[in-house]
Amino acid sequence: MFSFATIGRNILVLVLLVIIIFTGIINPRFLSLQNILNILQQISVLGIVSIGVTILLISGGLDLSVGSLISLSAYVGGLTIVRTQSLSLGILALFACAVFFGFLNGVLAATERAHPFIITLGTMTFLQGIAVVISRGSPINGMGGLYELIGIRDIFGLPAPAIIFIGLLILSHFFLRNIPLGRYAFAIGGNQEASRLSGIRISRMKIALYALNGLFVGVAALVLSSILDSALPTMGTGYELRSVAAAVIGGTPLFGGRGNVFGTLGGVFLLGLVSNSINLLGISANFQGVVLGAIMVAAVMFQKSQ
Amino acid sequence: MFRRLFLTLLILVIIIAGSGSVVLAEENEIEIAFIRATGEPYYQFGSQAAEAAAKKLGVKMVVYTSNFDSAQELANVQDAIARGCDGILIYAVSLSSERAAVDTASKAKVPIFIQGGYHSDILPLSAGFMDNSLKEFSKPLGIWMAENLEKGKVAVIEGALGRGDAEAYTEGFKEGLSQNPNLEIVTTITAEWNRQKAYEAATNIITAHPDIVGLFVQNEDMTVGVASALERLGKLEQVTIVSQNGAPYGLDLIREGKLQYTNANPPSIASVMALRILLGVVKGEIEPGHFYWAPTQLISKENLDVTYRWDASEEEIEQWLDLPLPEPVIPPPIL
Repeated sequence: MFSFATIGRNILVLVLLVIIIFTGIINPRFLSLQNILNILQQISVLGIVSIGVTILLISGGLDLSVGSLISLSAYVGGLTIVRTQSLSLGILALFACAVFFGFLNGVLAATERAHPFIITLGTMTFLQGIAVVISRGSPINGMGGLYELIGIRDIFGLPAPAIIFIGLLILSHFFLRNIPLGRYAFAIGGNQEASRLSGIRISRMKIALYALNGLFVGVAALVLSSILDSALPTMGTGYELRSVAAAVIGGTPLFGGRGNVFGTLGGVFLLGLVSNSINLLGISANFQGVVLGAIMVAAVMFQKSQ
Repeated sequence: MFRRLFLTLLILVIIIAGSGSVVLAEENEIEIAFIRATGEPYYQFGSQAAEAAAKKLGVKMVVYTSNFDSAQELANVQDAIARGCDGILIYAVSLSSERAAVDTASKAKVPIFIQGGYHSDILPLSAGFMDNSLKEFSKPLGIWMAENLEKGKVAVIEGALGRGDAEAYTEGFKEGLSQNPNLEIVTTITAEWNRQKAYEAATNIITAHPDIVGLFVQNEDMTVGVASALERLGKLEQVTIVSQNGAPYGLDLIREGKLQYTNANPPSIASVMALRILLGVVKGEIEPGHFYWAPTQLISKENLDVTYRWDASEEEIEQWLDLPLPEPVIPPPIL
């Protein structure tokens, strides 16, 4: 039967519907195909980062360095492309950088000497510092073909970044349900001690999950630098908090043990949709933060009240 | 029960408040999107002046903020096009990220005029660029210090590193200061455009170099913090400060004798002129794809009352609408 509890369980969908209907009535262009494609492209980078963050949160982990790592790995990739004139070497360097520092975060987190929040706060500052040092503040303009390869390419009528995001979303859902490492993430996040006693090698699993997160960061860095056709030493700033927000709005708790990537998709959609709709409604720029923040708070509160 | 009521009310407030500030253009009305890099005072004053000018010109304006996020900047451009804007006036987030923005607008045949971040290969795709050379902008401050200080130690308090602007300002200042070989830059500290961090930086500089005679602080917001620190340490008389911006609080510092010289880049008149050029391009009256120098003004106590204020009144902005438009110039090879 219809009840407030039913609404609570589906509140994210409800909020999304309200926003879509409301904005669509005020400005019909909101529902145009071009705008829908815009939204899909706009949410793709945040979506890709948020998948990795969701998996980490499920396992009881956290990575605040994802934004800095996007900046650094995109810059390393761009620099390699410019220096070697080789697109494939550049992509390889980008992923090597992202996965290496993801792995490093995992090694540090596995020591359990401090909470991942503090550890990755440190690596966040460290990685941002490296990005500034190696770039000397100069951005790289022109990503040597990446722009054509991903940034402006459409596949089956959809922007390539959105296809990559959707593909990763499906793969990661499969990973969490069917691959041992994915299932261990739930076990470790739910009760680490019980998992240890049941024979799961916690340290190894943590390192693998953080390295996997690095892989997602690498894809996000690749897509972002392709879309912008440039690499900037500060281009990833802000993704660390927005990705956590998307995961939490999507129903993944901060303390681990449960969650799913399709919920995160809802969170990502909410953030992207609100941002797009307030732009299309022409809401004053000074007021946009108030609207976005209030909707985020309301969405999280509804999630918590389930 | 209370929680449910609170949340329901919150959603209602958001929707009602949001709908109250919805802005849609009338039929046949020209609509311009003003996309600013962030909501900081520089961009706030720029967008406010442009909004006031747009009102007087009978043009609808919507303002977006990119929060220093290149991806958000591109999203704003896409949203402005989807909304049906006739032109886009943008303060780019970085010196390079506008390439994707210009490509997107160009494909949609929406003229886009860029303030700052000049890039020669996208100039032909744009409605125009208005910029100044970062190095050349800070150089006169170095020259002024070289001429007005005999000898001694000088320090630099920089903005955030990583975007290229703070680095270029330091380079230009150094070049100007080199005209006096008796002045030596002993330290360069970043305060990330932050007043509190600048306060701490100034304190640290005085501790390490108590005999410092000159400071180049890269914006006046940081200078407010630096002046407070020097005042507390009793060093205000000893240290000559030069800065950049010409912001209202910077002019107050000059009036109080705490800041000696500044190079102003008023966002107000720059945005009004950029808007007028963009409207000319939208109406087909001005040829697109040209470069214009952004207005700048060196300010000391002597000419304090004849400045283009950031917080210009509506009457002043109305007068700017009658000023001749800046002439296009041959763009410099590298800024």
